[in-house]
Amino acid sequence: MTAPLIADEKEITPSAPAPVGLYDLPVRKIGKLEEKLGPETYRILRGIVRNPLSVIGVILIATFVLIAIFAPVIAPPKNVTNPYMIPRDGFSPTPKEPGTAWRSNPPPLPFYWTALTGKETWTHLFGTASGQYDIFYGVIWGTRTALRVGIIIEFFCLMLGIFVGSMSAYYGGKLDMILMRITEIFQAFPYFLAAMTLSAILIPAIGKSLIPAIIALVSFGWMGYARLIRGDILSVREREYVMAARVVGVKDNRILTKHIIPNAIFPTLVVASLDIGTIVVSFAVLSFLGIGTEVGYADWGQIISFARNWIPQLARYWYIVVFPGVALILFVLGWNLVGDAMRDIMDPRMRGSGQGE
Amino acid sequence: MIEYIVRRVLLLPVILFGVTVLIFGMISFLSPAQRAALYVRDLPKNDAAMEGIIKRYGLDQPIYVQYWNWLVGREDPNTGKITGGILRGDFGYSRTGAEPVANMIRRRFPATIELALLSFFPIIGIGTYLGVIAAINHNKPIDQIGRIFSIVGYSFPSFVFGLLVLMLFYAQLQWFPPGRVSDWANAIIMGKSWNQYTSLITIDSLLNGRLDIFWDALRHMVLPILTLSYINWALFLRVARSSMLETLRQEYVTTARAKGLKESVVINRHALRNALIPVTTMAGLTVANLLGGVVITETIFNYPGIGSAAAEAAAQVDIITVLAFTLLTGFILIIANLLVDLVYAFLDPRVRLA
Repeated sequence: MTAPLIADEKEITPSAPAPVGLYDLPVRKIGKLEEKLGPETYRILRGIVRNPLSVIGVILIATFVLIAIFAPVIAPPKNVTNPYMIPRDGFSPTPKEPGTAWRSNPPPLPFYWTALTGKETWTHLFGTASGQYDIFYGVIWGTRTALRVGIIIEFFCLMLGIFVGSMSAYYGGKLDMILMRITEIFQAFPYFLAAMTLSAILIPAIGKSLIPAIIALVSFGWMGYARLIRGDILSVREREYVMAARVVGVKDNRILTKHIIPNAIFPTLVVASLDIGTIVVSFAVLSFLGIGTEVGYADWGQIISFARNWIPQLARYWYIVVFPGVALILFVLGWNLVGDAMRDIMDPRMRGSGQGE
Repeated sequence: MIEYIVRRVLLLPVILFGVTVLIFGMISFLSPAQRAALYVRDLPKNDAAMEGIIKRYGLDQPIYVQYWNWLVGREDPNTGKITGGILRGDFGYSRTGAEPVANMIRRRFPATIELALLSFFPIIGIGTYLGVIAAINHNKPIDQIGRIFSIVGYSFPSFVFGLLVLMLFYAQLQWFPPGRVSDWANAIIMGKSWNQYTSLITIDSLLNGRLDIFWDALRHMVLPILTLSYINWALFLRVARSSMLETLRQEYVTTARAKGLKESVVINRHALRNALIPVTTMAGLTVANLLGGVVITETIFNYPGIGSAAAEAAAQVDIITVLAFTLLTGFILIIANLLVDLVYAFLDPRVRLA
């Protein structure tokens, strides 16, 4: 434990005996976990676990991940080859309230249903929307859609952002100028509007599916990461070890990929992973406006859009908005709670003040 | 300072040019036939009619020629008249609006302006006020409540929020209806005795001395304004709070306190002014949020502004209309951001004197 202190001490007073009490200085104990993870990761983890709000966030996210993984068990699909299409119970335009029995060809019963209620017939747990789409299936499988879409979009945004940002920062000069102006032009539009426009244009070109919205949200979602990583690389670029690598004759792209990016990427990764909540909302809004997936696809925004025909009767058909709406809110809340704690922990001004820990 | 302004203003045309290129570039995702097909109603699509449209509007020309035509207009091969050209104010014909896009924007824009204006100042005022109060009461219950409000508000998708308030205040309680004005008020506004000064109904009704119409318009706008605002309140609360906390830690604040000044003087005269500087940069972001927000809010509340027109157009693949709307918002946003930067430079002596 005290090894580093002794080393320092020897340099200062090579021969004299150590002053009394020096070795009694309170030294912070370093646990096994911290040794394994390294001080930075450990500090972040500890900050998240210590903050009750972020613990709630982690629990929310974990719950949604579990729901997504076990979707086929919680709501067994009728059509196994395309489970994302919400099963329908007839075609009537009038929504049915929660608890109504399933009439025509119901999907297979989930294992827990008979055990819990003793009934042999399946019901519409959350009711049905116009066209008799079952809301329960939509919410459960919509969780999968949300996570899938969020992760895919985030991944491609990050790749694009890291590519542009690192090129810009490492080569600098004219390339940096041009790339940053292009970034500014992409940022000239409100994010959601630009994505809506591109998505609307892509629909006649590639048809209604998840793809147009995903391409659109990636195309206008990378700029923040590009700027973030550019800033971090600019500061890492000047470190001695980069200079050392250059002196030894390491090639440009090897310096960039092996020495600079790994040391600069961490803040960007954290910010990016926590943006999933916001991205999923943008995607849901596109679906809500009818610019995303086809009708009947299990997606929260898509179910909520059924409510648009029933605005004056919403008090009666509340379940069309409330169930998928609450799912969406809790999903975003989970990511934002963790994100909020993370931002406090990572803020260098908060470090050591005890507030972020 | 002057050099900074000049540099920003000189860069403006470059960014504006880039914005038009980006907007028009999106169109190149569609083949000429796909673009022409958007305007041919009857199915099966008549090949000859499609050819005619493609030839007539030059959709088969290279993309840079098309861009130029879109920018400055193009001579019609049949009539010899110059048509189109966004620089001439011609944004094309809106299929969903069944009128030229420029007319539609002119007709529907005032409603959006009215909504945005009535939201903008309360957002800044209330949001900042809440943030400052939270900072002064750092770590006290009021600060914790503010913190929870800000994070929950920030996580509440506005289209869900809008539908929930409609469910409660319209479908259930019948307090605040959707739309812009009631039918009886609309009849008066369309009538002869009505003098239109600004096209903003709240202001016009006051100038016409019709308090009843003023209240009616306001009653229709309460929910949309609330839906547009709450996310921004949450945002402003955060920024104002952390900026105020930062300022209160500064040494000149300690000095002011040490001089024996009253706490209210320390806060209002010494801390607040400096704490508000970062808040000004949020104004640009607010404009962006409002412009993006009106699309959702106007759609949910059936409010006849350009946002709902754009959403409708996007859902019906009326690309010409959507492009015009996005271009317009892009321009507004660029100008707004420039103004914000200039104001910021003016307010912060560290930037001004650099």
